[in-house]
Amino acid sequence: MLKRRHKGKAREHETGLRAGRWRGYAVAVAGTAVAALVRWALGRAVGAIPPYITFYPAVLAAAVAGGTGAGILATILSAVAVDLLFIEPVGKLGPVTPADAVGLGLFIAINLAISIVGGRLRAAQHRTRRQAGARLAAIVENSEDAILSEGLDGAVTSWNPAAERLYGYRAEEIIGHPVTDIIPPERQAEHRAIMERLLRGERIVPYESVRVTRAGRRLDVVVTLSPLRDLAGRIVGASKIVRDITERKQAAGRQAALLGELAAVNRELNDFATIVSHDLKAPLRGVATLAKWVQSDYADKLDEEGRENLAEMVKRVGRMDRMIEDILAYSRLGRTEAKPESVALAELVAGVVRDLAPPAQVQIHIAPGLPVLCGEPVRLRQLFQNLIGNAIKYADKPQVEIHVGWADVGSFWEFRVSDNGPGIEARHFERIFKIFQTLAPKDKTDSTGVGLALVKRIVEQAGGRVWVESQMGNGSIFYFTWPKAEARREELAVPPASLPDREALCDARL
Amino acid sequence: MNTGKPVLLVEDDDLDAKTVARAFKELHVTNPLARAGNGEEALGWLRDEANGMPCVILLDLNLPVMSGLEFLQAAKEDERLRRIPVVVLTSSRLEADKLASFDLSVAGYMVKPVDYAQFVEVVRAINIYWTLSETPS
Repeated sequence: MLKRRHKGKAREHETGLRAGRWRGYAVAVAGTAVAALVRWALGRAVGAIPPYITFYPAVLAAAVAGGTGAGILATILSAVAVDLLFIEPVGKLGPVTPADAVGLGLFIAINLAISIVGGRLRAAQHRTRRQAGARLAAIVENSEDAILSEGLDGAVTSWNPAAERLYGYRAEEIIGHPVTDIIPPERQAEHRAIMERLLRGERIVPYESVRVTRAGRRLDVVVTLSPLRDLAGRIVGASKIVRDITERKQAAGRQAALLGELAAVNRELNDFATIVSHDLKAPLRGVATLAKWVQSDYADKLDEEGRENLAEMVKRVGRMDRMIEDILAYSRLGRTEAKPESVALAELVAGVVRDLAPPAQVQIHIAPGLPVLCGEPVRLRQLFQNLIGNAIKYADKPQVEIHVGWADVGSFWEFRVSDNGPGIEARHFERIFKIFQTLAPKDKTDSTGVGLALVKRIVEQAGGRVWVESQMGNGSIFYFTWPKAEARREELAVPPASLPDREALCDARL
Repeated sequence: MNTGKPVLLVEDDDLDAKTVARAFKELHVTNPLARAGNGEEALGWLRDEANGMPCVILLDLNLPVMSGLEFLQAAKEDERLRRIPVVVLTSSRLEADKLASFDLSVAGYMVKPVDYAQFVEVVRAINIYWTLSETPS
């Protein structure tokens, strides 16, 4: 189809050239006549002037309008006219004096040259025009976007192959028909309004709309609209580039739906953890209470071993209680109830150390100048409580040295809590951040294995990273990064709802 | 507690009910302790003229048939019942439960501790408060 179109275009062009040539011959005849008339009138008015003078423009005009052939015709006609009318003897063909013969020869030679050059010029101009046209036509033909145009009456005036594919109408079926055939009823008013604005000369920003195919399928499209003008600059219609974004829209819709589902599942999971934890607590409370009652009511009826076992049972119940509390704390992190605010870390960390009430042999050094962060105070406190608390809990040296330091690493703050404790084997670096993973036997430690999991979750929710460096016997350094306020705000600008006030909370001072 | 009026305990768990009863005994609280197993039973008990009005209602939230919050809703809409102080005694620490309870004008919100000794302390606090606090007669 494309080839046929191109051939059609070429034929069209040839007819154009031929028509131009006939126009050239007409110009040659008419031009020569006018030149003769003017020459005669001038001769009457002014007297003796060179005989050929008015014929040069006639030949030039014919050559430009019709090419070499028309130029030559004009040359011959002019030569005959001059010889007949303006060179003695008037009315007879053929020059008499040698001067006239030379003059006529020169006239013919010069005008032949003009004809040839004019013809060449015209051909070159046509070629350029044809090439430019063909290039434009090829762009329109091969475009993946539908390109169509409509006149002021709203009828389709052009329709490219992509438009055929998109809408299912062939060019010959739709050209001349109202463009509103492809616009669904509810978008007709929009189309009218936009066309009115275009006619008023407004620039139309590409807009999203809906179109309907011949088969009745609806398409989401982006329309780029530009005015078509005639030579005088009047708007005579509109050209439209229409891009099908149905797929993109559907993909976006699916993505949004998936995200929504994910959020819902996440919420459910969190609720589940919370509910399960609460439901686990009720029977646990029963066990604890009953054990205590047996302990107090039947103390004298139990032997030593019975009392020990009962005490052990109470201890295990306490452990389970702590685990449930920790699951609750961990799952609460999934909720977004708390709002970030500006937190002065220097104060917060000092408070954490005070609350931990470290024993006398523990020295905690806090680097000066701790920054102000954007975060939730409760979580930041949990974070430092766990890291410093762990350093105290696992200390194995008579003199315990714990350092809290910080560094500015571009868009993040980096913090570290280092100790001179027993250290952690490299193969455990991953495991310690997982929930309920401890390195000590469960009955030998108070730890439930939630602390570092909590730390990891808090840091990662803020968009930071947490890791550990350690050498056995030389202590450990826990690092974590926390985005600076600007970065945090950007990140917070993505999730939905309640964000404006979040932003307000972590104000520009940060 | 005030005036020796009964205390209504709305609690489905027998052991929890027993725990409250035992704590009362240990703390020498002499008010009679009435028990309802869910919100509906509690409303029935309160609307029965044979029973005197309680000085305090101790209310669990997670109940079968009619939950604690549903009971609160019904009680606060009832002209006769709305002034009886209700202290929530639950295992739920959920912010949503606290908000819903206080929206329904509870007089207090206590989380049941796992440890019995602490449980007794909670009951002691409730007792002291409602011994000192004046209530409409």
